[in-house]
Amino acid sequence: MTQEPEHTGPSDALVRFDDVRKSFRTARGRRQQALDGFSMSIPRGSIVGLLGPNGSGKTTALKTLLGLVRPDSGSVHAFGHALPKDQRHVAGRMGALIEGPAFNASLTGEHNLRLIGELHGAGPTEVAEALELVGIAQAARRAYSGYSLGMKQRLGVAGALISGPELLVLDEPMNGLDPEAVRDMRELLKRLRDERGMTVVVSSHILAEVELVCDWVTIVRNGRVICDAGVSELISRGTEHLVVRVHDTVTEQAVAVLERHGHTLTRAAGPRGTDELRMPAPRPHPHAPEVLRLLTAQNVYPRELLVESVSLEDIYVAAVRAADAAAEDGPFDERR
Amino acid sequence: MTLLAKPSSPPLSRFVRAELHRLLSPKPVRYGLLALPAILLALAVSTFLSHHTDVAAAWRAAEAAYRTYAEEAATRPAGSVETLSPREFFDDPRYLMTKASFVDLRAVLSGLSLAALVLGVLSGGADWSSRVMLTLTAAEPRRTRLFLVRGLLVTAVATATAVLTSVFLLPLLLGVAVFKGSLADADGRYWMVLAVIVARGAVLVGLVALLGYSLAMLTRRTTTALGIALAYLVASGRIVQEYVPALAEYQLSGITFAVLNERLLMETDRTTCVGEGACLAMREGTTATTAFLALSVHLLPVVAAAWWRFARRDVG
Repeated sequence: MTQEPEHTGPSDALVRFDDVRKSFRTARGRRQQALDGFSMSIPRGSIVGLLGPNGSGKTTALKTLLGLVRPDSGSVHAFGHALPKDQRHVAGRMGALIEGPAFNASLTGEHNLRLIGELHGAGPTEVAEALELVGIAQAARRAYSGYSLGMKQRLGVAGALISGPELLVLDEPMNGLDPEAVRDMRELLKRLRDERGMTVVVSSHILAEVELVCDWVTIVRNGRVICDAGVSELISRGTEHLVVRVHDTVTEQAVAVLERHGHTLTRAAGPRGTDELRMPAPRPHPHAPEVLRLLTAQNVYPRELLVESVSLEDIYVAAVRAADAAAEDGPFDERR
Repeated sequence: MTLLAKPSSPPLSRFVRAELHRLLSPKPVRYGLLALPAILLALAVSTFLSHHTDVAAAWRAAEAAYRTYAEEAATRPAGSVETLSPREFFDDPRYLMTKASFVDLRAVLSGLSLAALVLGVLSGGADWSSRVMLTLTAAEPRRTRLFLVRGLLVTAVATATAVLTSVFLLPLLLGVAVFKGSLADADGRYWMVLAVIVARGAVLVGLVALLGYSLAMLTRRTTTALGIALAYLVASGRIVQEYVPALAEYQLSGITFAVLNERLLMETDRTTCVGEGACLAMREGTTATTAFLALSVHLLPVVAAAWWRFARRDVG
């Protein structure tokens, strides 16, 4: 089954990609399709996560938005302007960290930021403020070459912020950050959204972080959007499971009881001599009390009973598998 | 919070200022510019100290040089060698002035041309290597403007450096000439010719920097651009000499010599004719105009290709 991309998006989209195609010629002379009918919307004032495996087209899509790459066909609009034709009208309204931080290694972090800030009319005050925001003010006078990967990453984000953008585009901003820095980054992005109404696009592989920070998520596979929806909506759409952990000596008995009452089960070995019986749990009441009552009535006492919620990772894996299955069936072939 | 959204890409004046700072920021560039006065001073001191015509060893070297010069001059249609004896040639106080103000100046400007090539390559290539170019092109989507502003700034900085170098160096060299020789015969024409050489040299240095910049923008890699430049300087002279000798004088060494060549007070060509292209340019009497035309043949295709690739192709 082909899962149609849900790229209808919100009505107040700040950025809109419509059926964008882009191919590159590889070193061996073959054409490689990086974007293949890519369509998505970025809602104003939200944090959007762009997910997808390596080579799925995420960075190419971001580069198209920034005017670094020109699409072969399709249209991209940002702030109501058609890109790349009107790129210069929107360039100052976007800040970006693309393909990792890029700075002159022999200069200090502050000097590097000053050079970028100068392009946008940002003075020492703004430079100091940006450094403070990302938490590397104390290392401002150190040479960039001596920065750790995490510090470089933070400086890259400061560089993206220095223009005071309305749209912040961050390509893998969590790369190389320690857990504390990841949390700081998450808080920073939320602050930027809440206090300044900034729209943020984050491409990332760290699904848990995207789930924690993003309002909207777009999953990309083979240059196409395979899923595009609000994070809470996606998660609420997903199926939760009730997991009953019982001692393996009573597993057969528990299975018999539950199946007799119409529950569909999957079995798996659990830790320390237990088995896990997993069954779909309808929202909002995943019938845990009923299951408990049925089992205890037959003298089967579960070691643990828990509701397993749906994670973004589950949704991502399901979407990618569905897309792969659809690709194997060949529904996209006609479009190539 | 004072970070405010800016409505569009930067205005030209701000952009030029930012690009100039970016161009002068790398340590090799800053240190090179700071070291230049010291290098020039050292050259002047060395010229002053090394002029010992009364020392036997120096005299023997001068005689040997004169013999080579005479043989070389005899191959040319119009030589004034018969009128000069070795003693007259090297004892002539005008020799030192000519050498100091002309030969040494030419050597320095030739060296600056080489440095300008490296400066151009670095200014064009470093930002590709560090991927700063992605940030720049995202901030200034008008790529032709970015290409032109940076190219013109590289050219202007190199030209200005050459002018300032000459302005700093010439008084030192003329000082040496005054103390060890004479300023006799330094008439209006002499000073005019000197000024013209400085001007031509400065333009040459600027254009060579532009060539290096364009090469780096075309290849998008510092090392590749430097490699091509080095390979050209090392190999092309020999290849052209071997297969199309008629074009040998239009090699960069020949061009540099022809642009900076001027017979001032005496025939001193042999002392400064270094390399086949340069000697050929001297023998053939290649003019500065022809040399600049030959340089434009080198420069224009590279600039055009670099502009096309940068402005019309993807940068990511």
